[in-house]
Amino acid sequence: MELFLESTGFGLVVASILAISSVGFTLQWGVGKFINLAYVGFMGLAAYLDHTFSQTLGLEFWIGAALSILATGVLMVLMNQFLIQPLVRRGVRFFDLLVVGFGIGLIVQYAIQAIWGTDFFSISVAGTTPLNLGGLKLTPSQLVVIAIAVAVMLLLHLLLSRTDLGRAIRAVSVNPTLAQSCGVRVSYVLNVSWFISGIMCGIAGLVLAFNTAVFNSGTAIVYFPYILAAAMVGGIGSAYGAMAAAALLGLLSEWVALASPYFGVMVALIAAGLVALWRPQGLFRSPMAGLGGSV
Amino acid sequence: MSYALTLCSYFFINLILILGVNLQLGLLGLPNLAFIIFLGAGAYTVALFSIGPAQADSLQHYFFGTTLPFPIPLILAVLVGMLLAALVGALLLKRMRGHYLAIITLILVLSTWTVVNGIPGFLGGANGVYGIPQPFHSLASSPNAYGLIFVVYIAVLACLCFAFNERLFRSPLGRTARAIRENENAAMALGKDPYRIRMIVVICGGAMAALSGALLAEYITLWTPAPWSLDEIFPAVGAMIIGGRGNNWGAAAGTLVVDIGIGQGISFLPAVSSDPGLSFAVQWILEGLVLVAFLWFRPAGIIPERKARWPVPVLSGPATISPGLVRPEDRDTVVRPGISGQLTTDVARDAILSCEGVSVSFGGIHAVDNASLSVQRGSITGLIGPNGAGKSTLVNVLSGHLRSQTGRVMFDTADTTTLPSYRVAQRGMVRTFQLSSEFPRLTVLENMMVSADHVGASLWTGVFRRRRWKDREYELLVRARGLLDEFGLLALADEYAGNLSGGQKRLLELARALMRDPAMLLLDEPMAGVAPSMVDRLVDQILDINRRKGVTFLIVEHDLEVIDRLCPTVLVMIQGRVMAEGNLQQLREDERVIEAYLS
Amino acid sequence: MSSKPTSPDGSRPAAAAGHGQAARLAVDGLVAGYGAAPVVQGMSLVADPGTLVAVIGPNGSGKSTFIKSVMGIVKPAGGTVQLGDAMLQGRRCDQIVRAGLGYVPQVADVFVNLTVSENLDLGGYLHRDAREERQQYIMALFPLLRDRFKQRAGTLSGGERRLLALARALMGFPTVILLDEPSAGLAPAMVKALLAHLQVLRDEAITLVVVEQNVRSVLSIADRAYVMVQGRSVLEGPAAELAGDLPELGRIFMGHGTTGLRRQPPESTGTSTTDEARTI
Repeated sequence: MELFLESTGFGLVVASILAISSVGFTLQWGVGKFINLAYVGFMGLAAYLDHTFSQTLGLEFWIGAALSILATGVLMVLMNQFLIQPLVRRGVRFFDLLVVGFGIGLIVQYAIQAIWGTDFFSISVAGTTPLNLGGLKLTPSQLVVIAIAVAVMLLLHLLLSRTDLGRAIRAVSVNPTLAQSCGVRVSYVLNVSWFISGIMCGIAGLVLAFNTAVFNSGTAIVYFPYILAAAMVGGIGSAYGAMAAAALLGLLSEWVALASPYFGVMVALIAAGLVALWRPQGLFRSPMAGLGGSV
Repeated sequence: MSYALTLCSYFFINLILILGVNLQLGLLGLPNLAFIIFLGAGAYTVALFSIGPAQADSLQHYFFGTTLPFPIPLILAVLVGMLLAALVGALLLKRMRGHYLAIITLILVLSTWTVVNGIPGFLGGANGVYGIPQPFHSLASSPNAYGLIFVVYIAVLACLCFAFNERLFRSPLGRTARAIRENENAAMALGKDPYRIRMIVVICGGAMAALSGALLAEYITLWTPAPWSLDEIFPAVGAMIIGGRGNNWGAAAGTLVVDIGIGQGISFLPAVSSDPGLSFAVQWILEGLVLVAFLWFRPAGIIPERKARWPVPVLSGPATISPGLVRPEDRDTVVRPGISGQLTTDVARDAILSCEGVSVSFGGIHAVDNASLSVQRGSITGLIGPNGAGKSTLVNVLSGHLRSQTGRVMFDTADTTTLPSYRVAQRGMVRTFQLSSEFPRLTVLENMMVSADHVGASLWTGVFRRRRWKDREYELLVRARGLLDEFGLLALADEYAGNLSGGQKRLLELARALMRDPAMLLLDEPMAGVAPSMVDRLVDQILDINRRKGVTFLIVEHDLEVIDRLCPTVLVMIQGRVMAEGNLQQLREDERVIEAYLS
Repeated sequence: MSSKPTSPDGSRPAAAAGHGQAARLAVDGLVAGYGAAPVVQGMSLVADPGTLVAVIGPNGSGKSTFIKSVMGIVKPAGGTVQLGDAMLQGRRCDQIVRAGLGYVPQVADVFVNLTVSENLDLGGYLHRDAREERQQYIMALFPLLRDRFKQRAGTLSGGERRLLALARALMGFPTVILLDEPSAGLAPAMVKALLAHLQVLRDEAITLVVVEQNVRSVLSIADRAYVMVQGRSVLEGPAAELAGDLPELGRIFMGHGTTGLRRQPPESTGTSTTDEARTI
């Protein structure tokens, strides 16, 4: 029982990291109609940038964090504007774009290796001694991670449901032409949504680094199957679906990992596979919703 | 010397893999990323069947092992690859296409890799298996000599794969695969079964991937999960894209550039090559950059897919085509009308196509509501009606592209209600589509050549029995050129069909359909997007085909002037059912019809 | 100004229309379409402020593409689109909307993943300050939507969606609303309700250009009508006149040609119910 509660605690942390990252990933899929296989690479980059800003350049911790998050957001927008959109205009087919995304991810991952080497490093945001909270053993760092996740989800929810921009993003994801006839500048909204998902990518990368004792260029890569699975189980493009799926998969995989550490990820993969075969619109959407990929 | 031999070995081993990738992705356009699993499976198989059972005190653990003499483990490796490919194909290929297939095969790769990597006792876990014996070792006196023998061994296998692929690509089967890649629905409307082609291609690709993996395992004598991780998909696909997809020389060029060029080019950068970690990283970065550069500047690759060409036949002057040119044993015999359209009264009253009580609804809306019609053999019948009347949906049911929820469809004395579209096409009905459905990246002549049924369409005959189908090919070539000439398209024979004008594409669609010697043609808005001068040509062709060859036509059209010129009999469809029948003159006076058009 | 309008159920809206400056829409020789044979081959149309102009014609005549090219969804290959003083052809769709055109498409007419309220908010995307008041006005005109305010648009019936689409277009204070076959796929009762709403809007001095298959119904409420065949206008005039010769229309639709083209200049729109001065 004790172990179970402990792993539940881990599950919450994993779910938090997963929620932030998979929401950003699914936004790109749903709004930009792009499956960005470079996503986890950029998560790693964000962590390394933060390490550079904070450790090497000696900036204030939260300033360094903010800078690296912003940088990731900007990089995502640049990637869309100067790589993806031009290739789309040149008529490059969808599969090749997938390959490009994959390639960019590899470039980023190995560029990190080339620049920073393969040494491990660590970023700590708060203490690392576990606190006992009714059976859940969580360190202050992990509590910060969970708090950040909750805050980010809340902010995103407010953005999507209460602001004009959020509504415009959701509108563009389902019917860009109609959005235009409401006066929405679709290309601007697309760039903004790329920026937002880039921000989330950056936050996810940092949060992952906070939670990992030692971090290197390969750490974020491990999360790829989980992120993909959460996006698919939640329904492509559905931010709320991704959040729910992240919670589900995070907890489940940690519980399974109790039995066998390797197979936590199998939970995610099997879930994704089953959904793809039998419920492609995601667990939380009705079959009528189709694969439209709306936010 | 040994360095050069190493390079050659890697080249040939990778070439086999890229040939297999090109077969799936390049020829058929099937984004099946699971090939990397087949690679690993081939390697593990050759290992497990040649290193003997796991010893209790050794460091490696695997679930099964035996020692079989060469070349049995190699053959088994290929068979295992084919078996796994067949499994994956059966599971996935009927349901998914496009990028969803890519994603789910990605997930499959991740899953398989995680399982193999994570279970120590299954296939050696993360440590893998080692001690794989190399074949022909006894023949060599020195390492250099062995290197040479090994290169020759792999080179022979690689050349065999290359030759196989070349034959396959150039065979009618390869042509069909390309057609399916370009426009699957149109290919089905010409009688091609896409699932069968996919399975064949996937299994052959799986065989090559497994062979490549097995040879690699033999070469480095050990095998871990590393060489077949998810990342390794990228250089393989990249090599295909960079080299040029859809052709085997392109595959070779790609292998050269990616595996040899980039892999070895690194060693010429002193700053990089001194640090093994750095050179490894730079290799990946370079591959990515080169790939993006190619997609940006030269997406067709180093060696683009070439147009299919045939030699011009010896016949001079316009060939007169007689419909009986097709060898009877090469196609299903279908009852056909008389050649000149002078039909006996019995046959004249015979309905070649009929349906009754057909209903189709989409989410509560009845697109087709208890519709019944019949089309007389040898006639040109029109189908008109206001927007939303359900004409296209009904046409889809008649051609087998859509299954009716009720009722029956009879084509040429056979019940075709439940038949898929390619079976209906094989029985003698060809349909065209609202959007012109030419195969854009095939030449005009190739569009024609792929249409008819061909004895070379099977894998065995296509690849290994070339002489058997060469005659048929010649015959089809003569026929195709003759038809193109009739249609005035012969000068464009070697043009990409996608470059034709709207009207020319429609003419091509018609000519292509005629290659199948159909009993009936179902045309869905054939004049849409056609310039007025071309409309006249199309109308004349249709009248000519009907008169000379007795082909029945059912034409859906909005342009009532065209209907007037072509169709003595017109059916009117209103709100999902066929409400009136007669000639256009009568219908124009019919109040119900006018009412339907006005409201 | 005309007297306070009433919505179809007799209630009065709280706020006045308060929409944009009245302006005349003039399309001249518009050419648009896909590929070598453009579907719209020189279509011209004039819509005076506060009138309902119908565009009717057989299938494949290019009516839908015409609307889309006026709205900038399809780029015109030639011709001009003028709203008041402004030249709109060649501009992006959202810029054209900014200039004062509204659009109700034939399919995919609402955002199915958003609620009725959110759909309306998006309609008022460009007019944040006036949104609240405008919504009140629209709720009075469309009481049906008021009841379904928080419902997801995807769960509405076809007719309800169409009304929502119209309401959404209205939120943008359009000078002219273009509708592409608004009665398509609707039950007859809904068609009646929809047309009644269109009449109310026209009475509110909003210009409407309506492409329709349903000739009888649209001619009964229109001021002026154009018959579009094969990409251009073959017949135009006051709607009442065209409605009076339905057999002739039937002949045109079924491809029998026209018995003498009649072109009437747009000044004689005697059936207009607005006293609003015409824009320069």
